[in-house]
Amino acid sequence: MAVLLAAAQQGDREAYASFLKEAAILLRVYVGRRIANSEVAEDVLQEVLIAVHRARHTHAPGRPVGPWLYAIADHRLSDAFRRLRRIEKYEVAQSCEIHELADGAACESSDGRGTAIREALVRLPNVQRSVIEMLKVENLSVREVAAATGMSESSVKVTAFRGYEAVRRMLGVRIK
Amino acid sequence: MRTDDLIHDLAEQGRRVRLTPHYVVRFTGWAAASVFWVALGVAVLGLRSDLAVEWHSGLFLLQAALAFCLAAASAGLALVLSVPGDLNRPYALVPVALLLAWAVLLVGAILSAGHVDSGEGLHCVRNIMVLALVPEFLLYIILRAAAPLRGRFIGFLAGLGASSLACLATSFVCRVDDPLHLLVWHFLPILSLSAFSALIGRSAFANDR
Repeated sequence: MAVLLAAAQQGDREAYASFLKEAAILLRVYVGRRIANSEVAEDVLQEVLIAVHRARHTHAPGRPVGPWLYAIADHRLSDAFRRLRRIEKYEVAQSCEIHELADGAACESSDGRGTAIREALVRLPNVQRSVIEMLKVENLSVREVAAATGMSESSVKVTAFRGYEAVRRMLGVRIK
Repeated sequence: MRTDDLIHDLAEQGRRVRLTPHYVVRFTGWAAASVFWVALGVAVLGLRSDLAVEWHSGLFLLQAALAFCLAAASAGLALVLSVPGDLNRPYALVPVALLLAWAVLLVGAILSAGHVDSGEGLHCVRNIMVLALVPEFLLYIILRAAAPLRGRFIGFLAGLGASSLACLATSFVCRVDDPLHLLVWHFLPILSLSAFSALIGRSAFANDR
């Protein structure tokens, strides 16, 4: 891998592609051991690969690639854990309710909450509704929603969060 | 986007890159430019007239040695840390240990002195800030050219390195040797500037790099 990276630093794109593929194999295992959700793990893997791309000029040829590669991966993993904790803090309660929407029939038969959620979603602004539906009904990742809507990933998260808050307010759920 | 597509896109952007020089080379460049700047500053501000006497004072020499070591250790460590995977963890504690030693030295001098007076020292703070400006700016440029991952900590180290060097230079200008003055108007500004630098470092070395 060190040879491939050294060649990549000299502008050899084929060597760079090979290096990234080999790195992705190692990193997929490394990230997968730390993040159980395979979709999130794949997102983090992509973030690590982008970080590797941006830092590729810092690797000194002849030195082992492992410590350099895993230091970048560790940093991205820390970021991901922080982000996941922050998202979970606000999304656990809402996501249960929104997920029930996908299971609409079952919810309606129990306490009619599915209908209430659906009605609340209809009353949301178009952007918020479509983002929430893509995230929670179509199960797209934040990155995919960002690509589909042309928004940044941060905007997608903020829009979804505001949508959840609005739905909860409409349902009379106390916001933590 | 699928990972394979991402790899393809990244490989397409895989142009030849200019390698980050070894940290010794980067440190030498930074130190040469920074020492030149603070020496120029001292020349403009004027060397203290009692320097020949102070040169034999234990507190002055110890303080100068600690400031020098702290500047070198902090800047050096920031440069090492700006390359992923180059961290040898025990070294990260060196600047903190030097900072503590400096604080202990000053507090000890205050306690052992019969009478202390911090006096007015805003001009010392101003001198430290002005003298630290160029070393800090240079260090930020050099650090940004690498790939610093821990922005806040590296920003703190950059601030510590630059302000310690500026404080060392200020000790060649300021004639007040009262330990309380040194603590309040020389040492605490270093901490403040380093904390401020840590805040800047968080965004300057943002995670999207």
